[in-house]
Amino acid sequence: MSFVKFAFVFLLLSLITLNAQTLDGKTIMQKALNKSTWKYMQGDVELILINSQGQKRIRKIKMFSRKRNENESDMLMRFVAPPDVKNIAFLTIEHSEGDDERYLYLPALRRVKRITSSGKGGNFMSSDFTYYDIGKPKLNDWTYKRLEDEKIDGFDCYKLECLPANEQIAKDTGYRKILRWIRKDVYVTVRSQYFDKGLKEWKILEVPKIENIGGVWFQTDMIMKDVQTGHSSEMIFNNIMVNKKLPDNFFSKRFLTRLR
Amino acid sequence: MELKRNGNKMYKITKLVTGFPKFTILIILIITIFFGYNIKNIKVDPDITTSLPKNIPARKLYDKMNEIFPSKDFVLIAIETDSVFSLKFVRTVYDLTNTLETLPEVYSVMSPTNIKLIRGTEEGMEVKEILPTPPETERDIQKYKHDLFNSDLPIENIISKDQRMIGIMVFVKKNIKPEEAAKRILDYLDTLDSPYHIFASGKPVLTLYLARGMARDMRLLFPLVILLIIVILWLSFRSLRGVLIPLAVVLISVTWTIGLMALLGVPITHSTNMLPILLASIAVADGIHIVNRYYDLIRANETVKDAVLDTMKELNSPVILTSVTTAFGFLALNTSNIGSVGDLGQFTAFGVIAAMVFSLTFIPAALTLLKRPKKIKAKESGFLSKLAVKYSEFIITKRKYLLAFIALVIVLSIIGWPQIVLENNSINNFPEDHPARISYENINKHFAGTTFLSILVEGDSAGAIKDPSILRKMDSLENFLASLEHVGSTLSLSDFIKRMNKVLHADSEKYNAIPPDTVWETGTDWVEENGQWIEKPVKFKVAGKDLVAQYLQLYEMSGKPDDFSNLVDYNYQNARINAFINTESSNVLRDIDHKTRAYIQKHFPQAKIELTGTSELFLAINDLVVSGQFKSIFVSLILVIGVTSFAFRSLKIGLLNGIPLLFAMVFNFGYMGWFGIDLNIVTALTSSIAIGVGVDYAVHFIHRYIYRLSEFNEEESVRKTIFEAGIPIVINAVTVGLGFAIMMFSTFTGVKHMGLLITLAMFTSCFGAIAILPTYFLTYKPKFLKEKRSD
Repeated sequence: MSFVKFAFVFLLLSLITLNAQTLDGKTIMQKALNKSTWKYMQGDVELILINSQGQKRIRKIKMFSRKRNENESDMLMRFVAPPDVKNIAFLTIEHSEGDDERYLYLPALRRVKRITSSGKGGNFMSSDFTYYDIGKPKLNDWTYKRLEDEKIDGFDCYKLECLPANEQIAKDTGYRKILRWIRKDVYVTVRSQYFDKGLKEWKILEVPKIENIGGVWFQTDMIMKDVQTGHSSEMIFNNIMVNKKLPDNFFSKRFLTRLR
Repeated sequence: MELKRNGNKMYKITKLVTGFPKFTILIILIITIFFGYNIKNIKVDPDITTSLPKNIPARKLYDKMNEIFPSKDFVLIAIETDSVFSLKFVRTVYDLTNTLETLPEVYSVMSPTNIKLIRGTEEGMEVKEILPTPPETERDIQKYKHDLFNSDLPIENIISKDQRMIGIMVFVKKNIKPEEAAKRILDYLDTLDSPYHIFASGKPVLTLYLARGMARDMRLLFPLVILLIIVILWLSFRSLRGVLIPLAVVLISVTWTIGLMALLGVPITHSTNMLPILLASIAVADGIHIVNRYYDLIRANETVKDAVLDTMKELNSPVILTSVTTAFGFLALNTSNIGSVGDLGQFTAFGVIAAMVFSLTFIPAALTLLKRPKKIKAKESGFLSKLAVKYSEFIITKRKYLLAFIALVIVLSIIGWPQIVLENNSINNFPEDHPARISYENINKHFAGTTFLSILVEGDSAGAIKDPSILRKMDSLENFLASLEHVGSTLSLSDFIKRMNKVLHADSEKYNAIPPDTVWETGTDWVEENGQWIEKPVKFKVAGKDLVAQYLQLYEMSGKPDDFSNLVDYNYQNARINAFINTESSNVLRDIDHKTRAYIQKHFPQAKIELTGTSELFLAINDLVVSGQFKSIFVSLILVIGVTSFAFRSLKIGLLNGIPLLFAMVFNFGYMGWFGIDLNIVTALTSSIAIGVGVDYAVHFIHRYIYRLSEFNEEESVRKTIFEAGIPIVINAVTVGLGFAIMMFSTFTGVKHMGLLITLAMFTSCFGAIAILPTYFLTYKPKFLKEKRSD
C-alpha cells in the first residue's frame, strides 16, 4: 500500500469509455486507485492544526517522496518553520510486509530517533489525519457499495459506502464505515466521511482544491475535521514538482542528519 | 398615628374587594393559573459555584482558565477488588475505560489501562498506550504491572495507595452541565451489575447528589410544611374556612413566586430551594390573625360584612407593617455578592408582599362570600391566658431575676462567639451515611484527591511555556505543592518534559529534570572525509528551549492532537499545574492557598502565576459569606429600624424594635459557637431572615403597649399588653418557628442547621419582645412612649 501518495491522488482520464451506470462500487474505487502516477515528487506542505477553541499550530514542511515500487515508497519531510523545530527531519520507509520504519532527526540532539510505529491508525504528526488516511488504501481491504450519485461543489460524484472487509481492518483503521465521494470526471476523492466503532460520525474530509500537475491529479488542499472533538487539520500543498530525480541515498537514515 | 392613617387608605381597598368579592377572587385565580403554568419551566441549578458573581477576580480567573482548557471537572470512579492485577479485573477495567470514552458527555478518560507510557527504546522514544490491546495472558499482566509502576508519571489517582482500588478519571466536556455528565456516568455504572464495589466522586457527582437532595427536599419538605399549616389552622379554628382560606393564601403566594422565578429564568439553587418553606411559614401568619379576629367579631354578633370590614380596618396596618419589615429583611440578602442568595432575598420578599396582598384582598373577599359560620369554636380562655397573667405578675414583681437571666444568656452567648468556625465543606453537608459522602470519603482516603487547585502559568507569547526557565518554575512549584499535607498529587507539562529528557538520555536518572537554558549535548555528525561519509562524535551547544520544542515534536509524532490539551494551551503560551487535594474543607484549602501564594511571591515575584480551580471558588464563596453575613445583618437591621421608625414616626421606637432582634442575633451566634454549627453559605442566611420575620413581635408588642399606655400606668399597660399581644405573638412565633423547623428534615446538614437556627431565632426574638421590652418599660419608664400616645 502506497503510503506516499499522501495527499494526492492522481489520474489520467480513463481511455475506456464505460457507461457510468454500469460501474459498480469496486470498479469505481479501482479506477480511482489506478490512476497515472509519479516516481518522484516534492513540494511544500503547510500543516495547520486547529483545536476546538480555534487556536492554531502551523508547521511548514518541505517534502520529498519516491516510489520504490507499486506498493512501497519512501518519504522525507524537513521542517522549515516554526524556528524551534526547524531542521527536524522525518523519514518514513514503507514496507508492505511488517511495520513501516519511521525516523526523526532532532537537530537539538543531533541524533536520529526511531519512532515506534503506532500502526496505520496512528495520528500523522498529531494531526487528525492518520497514516492510513494519507496513504493509498488497498482495494481489497474494503467492500464497496455504490450509493446514489451526488453533486459536490457542482461536480458530479460517485458516492461509495466502504465497509471493512474484515475485523482486522476495522481495528487497524478505527473505521467501521467510510463514505467517499469521487468526482466522475477525474476520479479524485473530494469528500470522505468516517464513522467510528460505534458507527457514529467521527471525521469528515473536505478537499477544497485539486490540481493537475504534470499529468497527475493532486488534492492540494485537504481539511480533516474531527466532529467529535472539534479539532481539525488542514494540509495545503504548494510548489509541487513531479518526477524530479533525487539521489538514491536521499531516503536513508544517514542522509537525515545532513539536512541542515 | 401613622399606622391608622395607612389603614384608612387601605380600608378603601378593603371596601372595594368586599364589594366585588367574586371579581377579586377571579382576578387572583387567573393570574395564579398563569404563574402556575409557568412553574413547569423552572430550572434547577445545584452548582454552588455558578452563583458566584462574574466580576470577582477568582471567578474571572476561573472562567479564563476554562476558556483555555477543554475540560474543567472530572469524575473519579474507584473500583475495589481483592486482586487489582488479576487478568479478569484488568480486562474489566479495559472494557469499562473504552465504553466511558464513547459517552457523549466525556472529554477524555485517564485510567490505569489507557495511560500513555513514554519509554526509552534503543534508538529513540516510544509513546504508547499501556495496553494497546486487552491483556491475554498472565505474562501480559506482569508486564503491564511493571510498566504501570515504572512510568514516572503520577498514578496516585488511578491506583489507590493500598493497591486495592483502581481509579478512572473521567474528564467532562466543559460545555456540559456537570450534573448531567455525572448522571450519565452513574447511570451507566448502575447498569454494569459488576461483582466489585464501585464508588464515584468529584465535583460533577457531588453536584448531582446535591440536585437529587434538593429535589427530595422539595418533594418531602414542602408537603410537610403544608401539612403542618393545615394542622395548626385546624387546631386554631376547627373549621373548613379557617383552614382553606389562609392555606389558599400560602399556596397562591408560593405559586406566584415560583412562577415569577420561572418566568424570569431564575433557577432553583441550594439557596432558593428553601424559599417555599420559608414563604409558606411566613405567609400563613397574617391569615391566622385575620381569621382569628373575624371569628372574634362574629362571636360578638356582628354581621358577616361588618365583621370582615372591622377586622380589616383593625388589621390592615399591622399586616402591612409586619409584611414590609419582613420583606425588607429578605431584601437585605441582596447585599450578598452570591447571586443565588440575592435571588432568595428578592423572591421571598416578593412572596411576602404577595401574601400580604392576598391577605388583604383574597381573605376579606372570600370571607364576605361565605355565609355566617354555624358553629364557632369557643374562645380559648384557659391555659395560655392563665399563663399570661402569671407571667405578667412575674415581670412586674420579680423582673430582676429575668434581667439576670437575660444578662447571663448574653454573656454566655458572647463567650461562644469566638468558637464559631467559618467552614464551607460541601461533603460535610451530606449526612454520614449518604452515598455521596461514603464515596467521597473512600476515594479521597485512598487516592490523590478529587478537589482541584490549578495554578495558571501565563507566558507573554506563543511558545513561552517551552522555555526551560518557566518549566523549572513549574517543576519547583509542583514539588512544593506535593510537599503540602492533603495534596495527593500534581501534574503538569513539566512532568512529561522531565520524563522525555530522561528517556532520551539512556534512562539516566541524572536527566530526570528540566533541561538547563543552554545544554551541552553529545551527538554524531556525518562528515565527508576522503569522499566517504563517516560518523563522528561531536559536542555542541543547544538552546534548552529548542530541546524542549523538539522533545514535544517527537512526542507529537506519535501522540494524539489533544494529548496535552488539559495541561497547556495549543500555542504553548499558557499552562497549568493541577494539584489534587483530598478534602473540601475551606480551612485546609485556605491554608494551601496561602502557603502556595507565599511561595510564589517569594520565589517567582515577577512571573505571571495565578491560582484558580474549584478550591479557589470555594474560598471565594467563603469570603463572600463572611463579608456578606455582616453586611446583610447590618443592612437588614437598618432597614427594619428605618421602616418601624417611619411607621411609628419615632427613631427611638424604631431602635426599640431592634432590641429583641439584637438579643436574638447575640444568642444565635453564641449557639453556633457552643454547639459547633459552622458558619457557611446556608447558615449565614439565618440572621437577615430572622431579623425580618422576628421584628414583627416587637412591632406588635410596642404598638399594643403604646395604645394601652394612653389609658393605664406602666404596670397595667404591661399586663394588658402581655395578655392581648403576648399570646398572639407566642402563637405566631410557634407557628412560624415550627414551619421553619421543617427544614430540619432536609437531606443537608447546612439546611438542617439553618432550620434549627432560624426556629431558635423566632423563639428568641419572641422572648426578646415579651421579656426584654416589658422589663425595659417597667425599669426605665421611657417618656417617648408616653408622649407618643398623645399623638
